[in-house]
Amino acid sequence: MDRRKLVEAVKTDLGDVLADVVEPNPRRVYLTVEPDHTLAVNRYMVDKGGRLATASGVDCRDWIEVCYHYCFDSLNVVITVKVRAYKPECEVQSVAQFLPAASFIEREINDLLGATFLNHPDPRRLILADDWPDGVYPLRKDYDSETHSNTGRAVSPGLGRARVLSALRRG
Amino acid sequence: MNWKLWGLTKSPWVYHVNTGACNNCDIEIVDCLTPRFDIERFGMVLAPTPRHADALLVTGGVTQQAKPRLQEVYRQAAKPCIVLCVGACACTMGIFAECYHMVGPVDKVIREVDPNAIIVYIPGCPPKPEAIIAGAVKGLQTACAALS
Amino acid sequence: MEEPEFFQLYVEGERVVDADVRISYNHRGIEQRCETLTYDQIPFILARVCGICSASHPMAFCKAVEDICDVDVPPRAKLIRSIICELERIHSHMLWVGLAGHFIGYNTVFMWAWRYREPILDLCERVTGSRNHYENFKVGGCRRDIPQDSIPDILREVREVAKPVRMLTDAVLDDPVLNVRLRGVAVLTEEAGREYAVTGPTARGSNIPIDARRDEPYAAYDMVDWDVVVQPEGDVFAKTVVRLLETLEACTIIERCLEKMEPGEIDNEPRRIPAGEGIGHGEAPRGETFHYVRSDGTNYPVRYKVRAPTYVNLPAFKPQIIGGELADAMLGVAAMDPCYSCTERMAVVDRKRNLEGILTMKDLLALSHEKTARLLKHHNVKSPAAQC
Repeated sequence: MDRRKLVEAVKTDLGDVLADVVEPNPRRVYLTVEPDHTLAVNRYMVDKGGRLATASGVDCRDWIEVCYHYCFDSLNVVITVKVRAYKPECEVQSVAQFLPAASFIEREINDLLGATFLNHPDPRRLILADDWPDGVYPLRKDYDSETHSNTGRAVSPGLGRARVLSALRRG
Repeated sequence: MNWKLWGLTKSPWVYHVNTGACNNCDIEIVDCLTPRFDIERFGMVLAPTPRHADALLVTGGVTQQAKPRLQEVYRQAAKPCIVLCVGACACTMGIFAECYHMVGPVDKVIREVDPNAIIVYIPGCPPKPEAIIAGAVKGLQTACAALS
Repeated sequence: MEEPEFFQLYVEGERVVDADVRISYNHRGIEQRCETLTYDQIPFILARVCGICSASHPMAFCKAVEDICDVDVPPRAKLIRSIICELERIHSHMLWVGLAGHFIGYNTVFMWAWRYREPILDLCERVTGSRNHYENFKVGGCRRDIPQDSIPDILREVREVAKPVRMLTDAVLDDPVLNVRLRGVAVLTEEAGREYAVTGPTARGSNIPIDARRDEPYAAYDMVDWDVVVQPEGDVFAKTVVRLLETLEACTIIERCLEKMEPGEIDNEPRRIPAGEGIGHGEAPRGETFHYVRSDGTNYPVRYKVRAPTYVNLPAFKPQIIGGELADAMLGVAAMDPCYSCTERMAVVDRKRNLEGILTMKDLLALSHEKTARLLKHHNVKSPAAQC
């Protein structure tokens, strides 16, 4: 089975549940699915022989996007399954229910971004300190490092960005 | 004759604490024990517990989770105990100064427990083993001179 | 090495029946900081994610961002990148071999491995300017060149360095103490390895033949011939063999890269990073580093995800340690070469006798050394002269 055949098979088998497919180059495929289909699509990826390399959470304004990255090592392709956890609840089914490899990373996304993974086998805090305040998510765009809180503003400008922008304005 | 100070200058036992370092300073510290630098011939030994330590070798800018552990280790160490901050992170939090999980450089965290703690700074990222040995020797001698 | 991690082991007598780990002591908040740094500044902080993999993270970063802007890296820069990554692999594996020897009470191996690491670090300093943090990676190429007229010298030094590495490899593989102590210990089956999606020597020691350098070639790995080392048994000895043979492969790769170097550019200087997403995965000494970047066309990433290899290898410590003896627990953890390499202390809970205690590293080392001594006596193997 070669890379092109795998990608075509994926697109055909999953056709109706895929909200979007982006292929910026032959080695990278990004699929977007709605949260109802996350378990089915992830299980399909694992059954096809994909290795879950990791998952990335991204704060998009109205949802938290959880991207599960599957490496198909012998075929040199990485297929990413992006699932949207819509705000304000930010809930999505946990893949760790059937895949131990997803356990740690879902706990981390929960800590840092506040996405809740339903039916996670071990939903304890992982990466933040024991005395880190509940409900403060440092990777959300409205995180304010000076007050260590989520301000609720649309974008929180970082220190580095502000410095460079003011330097550019000075000319 | 102050036996503790004499022991400290002649054969300091150091206890190594990592409070959230990238591990490079730790490798350079362990390198000091290996045949090229071999500080054991000077009597410097890694102590098994802080209670036996004359000096603490602390690496890493202190993360929020590691802060209470560092303060506990310092309390357990028999005084006078000299704190050697090895590396840029331990001295000033280094490149991680603006990261959200860092609570402060080692001196700020230790001074919450003991405002009169003796702290020696060995900068570098990581400091080479020669620098660590030179810094440790100079720091310990100066500290002992000040204490006696 | 004292890295802060907290392991909790549940035992019944001498057998480990359950295990748990608390991480967070090393969490600094690098991903959030990367969102406030430019693409040119990020490699400097990424080199300090882990001191031992300090070339692998910037290498994966370059791969990820070059995935978005589809820039061609000049051949000389590719060769320099491979040379630095392989130098790092050699010094990291020698470090591990030394630590493994220390854990089982074989301090000769520890001292020899670290003593022979020094010329390698000198070579790193000669090639990049620093023993450990090599600030030589940038998007589109390298920051500093290796002077062409010093290459014959460097080639000679690499061949010199390969000799003690080979000697140590042969000594370790033939050693009766290590064979007795490490075989059959902390076995990770292929099935468990795939469930936990392990990478690196942890995977290759359990018959899972993955290696990012071959699966998605980057730098100069498709410009020179080399082999991937795989062992089927899954125990600590298999992982030791994988690491030692990889070290020898690394020496070969560096030699071949140096022989191929032609004068040329080292930096293609891309000016704009367009909007898009990119993934870069490289093979660090411990396994696959995986980086994901999302860009909106400005100088700063919208999201930068760093996943170190130990993050996926660490949960796999459970199937390796559970069912084994307490004296092997530390060895099992060390065999994955966690990027927080040693545990400061482990809490041990004895469920049967309802005892709970914190064992320090000294206690666990003593347990491990006692087991080595018992095994030596049982198998009638002479203990090494310089054991202490």
